[in-house]
Amino acid sequence: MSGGPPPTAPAGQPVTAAADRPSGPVPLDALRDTLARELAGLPPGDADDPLAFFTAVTEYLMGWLASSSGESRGAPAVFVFVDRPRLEGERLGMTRLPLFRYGHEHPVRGGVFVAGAGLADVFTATPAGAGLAGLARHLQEAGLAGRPTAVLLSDCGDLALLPQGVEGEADGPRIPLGAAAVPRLDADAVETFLDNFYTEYVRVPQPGHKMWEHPEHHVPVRRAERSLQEIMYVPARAHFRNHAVRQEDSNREGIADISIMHKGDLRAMGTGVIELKVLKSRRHAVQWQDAGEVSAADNQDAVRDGIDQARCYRDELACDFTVLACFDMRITDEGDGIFEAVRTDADALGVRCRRFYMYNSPQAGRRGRAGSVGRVATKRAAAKQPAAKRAAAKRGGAAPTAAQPPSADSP
Amino acid sequence: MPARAGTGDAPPTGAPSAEGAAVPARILELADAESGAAGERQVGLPPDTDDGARSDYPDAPLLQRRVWLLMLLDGAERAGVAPLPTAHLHRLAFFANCLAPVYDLPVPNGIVVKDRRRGPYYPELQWDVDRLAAQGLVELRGLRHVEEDDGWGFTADYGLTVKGVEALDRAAASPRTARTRRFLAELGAAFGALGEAGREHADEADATYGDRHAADGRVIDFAEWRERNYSADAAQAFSKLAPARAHLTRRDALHLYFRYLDRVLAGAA
Repeated sequence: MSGGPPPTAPAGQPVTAAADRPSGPVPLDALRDTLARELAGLPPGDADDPLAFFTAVTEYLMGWLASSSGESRGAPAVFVFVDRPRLEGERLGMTRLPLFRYGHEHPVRGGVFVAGAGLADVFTATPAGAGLAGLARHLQEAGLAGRPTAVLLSDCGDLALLPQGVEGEADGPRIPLGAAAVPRLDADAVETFLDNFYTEYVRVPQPGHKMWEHPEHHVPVRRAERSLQEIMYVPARAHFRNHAVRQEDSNREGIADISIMHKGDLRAMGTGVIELKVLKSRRHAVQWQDAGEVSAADNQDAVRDGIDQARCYRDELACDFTVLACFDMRITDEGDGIFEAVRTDADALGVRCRRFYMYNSPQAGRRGRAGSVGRVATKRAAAKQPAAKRAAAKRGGAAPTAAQPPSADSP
Repeated sequence: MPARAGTGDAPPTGAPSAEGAAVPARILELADAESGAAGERQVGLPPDTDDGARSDYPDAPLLQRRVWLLMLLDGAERAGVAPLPTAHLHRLAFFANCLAPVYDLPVPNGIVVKDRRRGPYYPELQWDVDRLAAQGLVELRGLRHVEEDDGWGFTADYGLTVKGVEALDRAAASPRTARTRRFLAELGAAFGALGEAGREHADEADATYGDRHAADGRVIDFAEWRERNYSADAAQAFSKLAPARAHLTRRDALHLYFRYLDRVLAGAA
């Protein structure tokens, strides 16, 4: 017989860390991963708490409505929370729907559904002459009128929650399940937002959204990532209005730049993290001549860090996906080559990587929009110049580092 | 899984002294017995050395064991997964044993024989549940005879009867019993959330029963003489792994452990 609870593992140690124990079968990483992914989905109340029942019914109906093209229209359905569904269901001679919540194959086309908080096995009956009044009468006759009840209204698709049952006086909350569908938030949706944000706000310099200290010399502002985050925050809140958008969401692993979390709208599914990185050719400086060079290796490191951060914050905040958005302020648009070395790792970690090239002037933006014609033409023109002339041009050029090739998007 | 005790074998340990009509009445009075002669012991404990002798009810440990079993079945009823097949009942009992420390409850039975093919099996529990069925407190349905290597036995599905619920509601009225009942109700909910396949194989993923260091056919002692309860350790480790601002309750730890089992079975952990 146990003399009390066994000792638990200290933080950071294997679960079976005591010296006299063999190595245990549960790696902490597996527990940590379970915690990160499953915590948000735990039932909100105890096994006998109507809150857990209402949550289970709501989530089930949301999934069912999404996959059944609104087949519930036409007749109301009433879900009643009972302590022991099997005993109640058999007492009332109802039909058993085994493994109810594990699939959406059971029709919810009106009637009474008796269930426990877990919606495992559900018992159902379709009283004659249904309609909401008929169902309420049926519940009264069955002695279930005072039990917590969720009513799926047939006309509008709303779910009315009645914690005190159909006889209770207080009206519970109403959840508009049948309202305009909110598409599930996923990495594709975030990419769409990022594309729009990029086009509207930062593709070329915009008044009021300062990202460049000396645009003509490709010198970014101080703390360019923070500036980018502040520019993005308000558009993100407007775009993801069914979610809670947070800026600088701190967690144990660090601070997520932008997190998109649940805010109570049960129709709005999916959560994610956007990690922001800025790729640069030059560091910030008040005088452009003082701006130091940022090497290709530095940018590559920034991308690697970004992938690690994106993965950590997603796991720590128990989000469904993460996107690393690299805003490219480098002198030349070198394409997505910077992701080549990390593509395999990013895919393995489930991190979506996107790059957005930021032009330093509207003119450069127009040339970029026209395609690579201007850039190619400029490179060809440079190649035709005599070496001495090119060297002289470089010496007299605007760039503090003579090694830089001429840029198509320089003003 | 054949239930050896159900075939008329002798009880595996001890002999219940009061069977038939007298036992249900004793169960109804158990709450009084628990707060009296049972002293500091809690419902759910297995028979100990001399508790029976000190009790006003000579068979009090037996009754406590059976009330615990009724509460276990009640948890399955509340979760909507009853009636439980024999194998599921024993599997749920195993989890109730090894995860009791998560709720700061004593472990009712700290040993189990590892049987990869059958899963956890408790002869005493089988003896008790069959007697409870005979007393009308437990419903036995779907009786199936099966032939195993060591002879014939039967399997069945077990659930509470209305009479069993009434008896339990009276017997489990004391605060200490209520704590065990809360644990077993939550355990039933977490077990029920596994799904059919998960309930069938949950023991294989369990940290204690599925430990590869434990050989098939050997006794796993996780809380009787040794404290090597990997399952409870793992469940309780969640609290230490959680972010500082996220306060995990015992219920959270219990459900997270079953989510972990589900992920292991799905190959995700």
